Amino acid sequence: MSEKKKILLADDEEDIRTIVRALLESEGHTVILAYDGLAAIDLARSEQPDLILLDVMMPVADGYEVCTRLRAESETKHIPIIMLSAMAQTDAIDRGLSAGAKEYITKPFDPIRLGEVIDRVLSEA
Amino acid sequence: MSAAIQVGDSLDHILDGCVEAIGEVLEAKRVSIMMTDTATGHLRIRAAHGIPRDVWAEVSIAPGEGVVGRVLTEGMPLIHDANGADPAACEANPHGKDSFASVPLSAHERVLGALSVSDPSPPEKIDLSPLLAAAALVSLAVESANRLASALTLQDHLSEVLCEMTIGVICADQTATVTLCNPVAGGILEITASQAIGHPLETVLPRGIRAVILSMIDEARETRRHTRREISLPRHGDPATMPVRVGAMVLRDEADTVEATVVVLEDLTLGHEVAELRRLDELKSNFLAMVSHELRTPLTSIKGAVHLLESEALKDEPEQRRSLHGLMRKNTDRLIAQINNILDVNQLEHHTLTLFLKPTVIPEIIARVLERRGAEFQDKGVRVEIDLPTLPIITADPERVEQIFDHLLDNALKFTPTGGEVRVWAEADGEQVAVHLHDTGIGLDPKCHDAVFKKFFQLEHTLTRQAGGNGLGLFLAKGFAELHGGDIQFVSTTTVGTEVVVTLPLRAQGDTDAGARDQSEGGQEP
Repeated sequence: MSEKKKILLADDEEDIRTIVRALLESEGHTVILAYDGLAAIDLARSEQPDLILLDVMMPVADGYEVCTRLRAESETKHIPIIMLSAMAQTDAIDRGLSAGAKEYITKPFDPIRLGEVIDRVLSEA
Repeated sequence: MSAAIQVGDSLDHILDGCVEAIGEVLEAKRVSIMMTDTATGHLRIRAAHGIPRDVWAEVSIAPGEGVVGRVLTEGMPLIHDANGADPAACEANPHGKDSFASVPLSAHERVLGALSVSDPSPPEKIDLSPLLAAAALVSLAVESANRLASALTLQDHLSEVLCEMTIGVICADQTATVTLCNPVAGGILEITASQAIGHPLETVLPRGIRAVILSMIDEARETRRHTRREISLPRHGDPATMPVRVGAMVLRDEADTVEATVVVLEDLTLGHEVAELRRLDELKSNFLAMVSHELRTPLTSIKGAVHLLESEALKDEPEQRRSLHGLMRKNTDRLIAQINNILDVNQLEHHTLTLFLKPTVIPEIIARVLERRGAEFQDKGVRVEIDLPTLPIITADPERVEQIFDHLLDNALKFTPTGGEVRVWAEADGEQVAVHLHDTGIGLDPKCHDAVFKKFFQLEHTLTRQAGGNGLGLFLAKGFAELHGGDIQFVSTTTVGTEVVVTLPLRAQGDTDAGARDQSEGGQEP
């Protein structure tokens, strides 16, 4: 149903990267991985993905900082961002959406729902 | 007559002196000073010369009534000519049937009363000027006395207010003698008001803080500003000190001479406690948020893996399926370990953690930990060197001791980059066994040697967040060691990396009643 898209996944947990990558690839997307916030920003600029899946708790630069930076830069502000985080409190969610994320999905997530949200955000772009 | 007006005398005394003096100087048979009674508004005799005292009480002249009453309302001197006056009206008048002159006593354009002097001379011959002069002086005296009375009342009110205040106040006069010490100040300084008032301020201040406060007063005097400082006040029979905010100020009169010194004392104990409670509350909120995060993360991997395995996605990928099984197993174990950690943290903090003591062989325990974690070390390319002599068997809880070394080795692995090394060695004496772990990793700032054992210390320091992890390991390791009567310390090392030392007594102090250790430390019976 969905087109093949290039998705940048930023998360410092190896197992999460493994799982989410497998889920996205099973939907036919291409996945680029970033291990921390700075890598996420660099790869966003150089790879120009169609979508960024961003974790919040990352070392060096956390998800909020990364999101704010990417939304501010001309090279990357057109790329929609979905936050994916185990920080599930309301204020964490508000903060993410205020930083410019299109959606904020809490972990653990239902993989089907993740797929639906990704499809919707990609089609709106 | 000025001599009659002495500062400090009661007003009545002064007025008595005035009427006597006026009577003498003017050679008048009768002199009276009448003042308005605040209750009735009528004029009453306050002082009189030549009029018997028993008559005074009967005199009550309404404003506008008779000569004197009109002096009150019109504010002008009037002369009463007894000749040809209505005899009935004279009855009411204390000056009787004499002629007299009456002048108003006023201050700030308000008529306070009247000064009346009998004078038999014909009205047109009466010289009012000495009377007016006398009236002016009397008015001044009355006004001053009233002001003084108001000031004293105000002072009483202020004293009452100061005594009720929740802040301590001590006042001293220009000779540095204490004039006021309210109950709160007395409580803080551990003296009574009577022990303070009338004594030199210096002697009233406890030795520990005397010099500081005196220097604050000097500073206030020189800089002409309030000085303020927080100090720790030693208390009698209490090892803890009281945090006190001290303020000093110096009050000057119009001539700029120092009139008084005021020292204000505020007990900050409660404020500090509230701040501490807020801090703990915030820590607790942060802890819950972190814990929640630590449980959700492995669950995410497990849930995702289950979904992938159930779907058609990997039906032709046995390798990937196998690796997902491994991932699920690993994350399930991680989740169980985290939940156990959280429960252990809770038990440690509530002093309800029980040790199950058995003979414990430390080298065996360390070997077990390495067997379990060996693959992780290998994958990361970090070497492990074990150099343990024969160690005495100690009495300890083997499971908890294993957790200690598990956490420490996990920590060492996290912070040691590929190509690094972790070395373990030990020594023993008659009392205890000391096991050293040294890694060639990024090292720990000596300033953090104690703080690192706090819960989630890692998360406040971005450098350590790079290494990941849950932040409870070191807290638990130290807690377990201490429960045994041992300890864990990071030590400064001249070589690259970090060295940590675990000391465990040969015989654990922690009994099956874990609370016993704390109680015996406090000197109570278990």
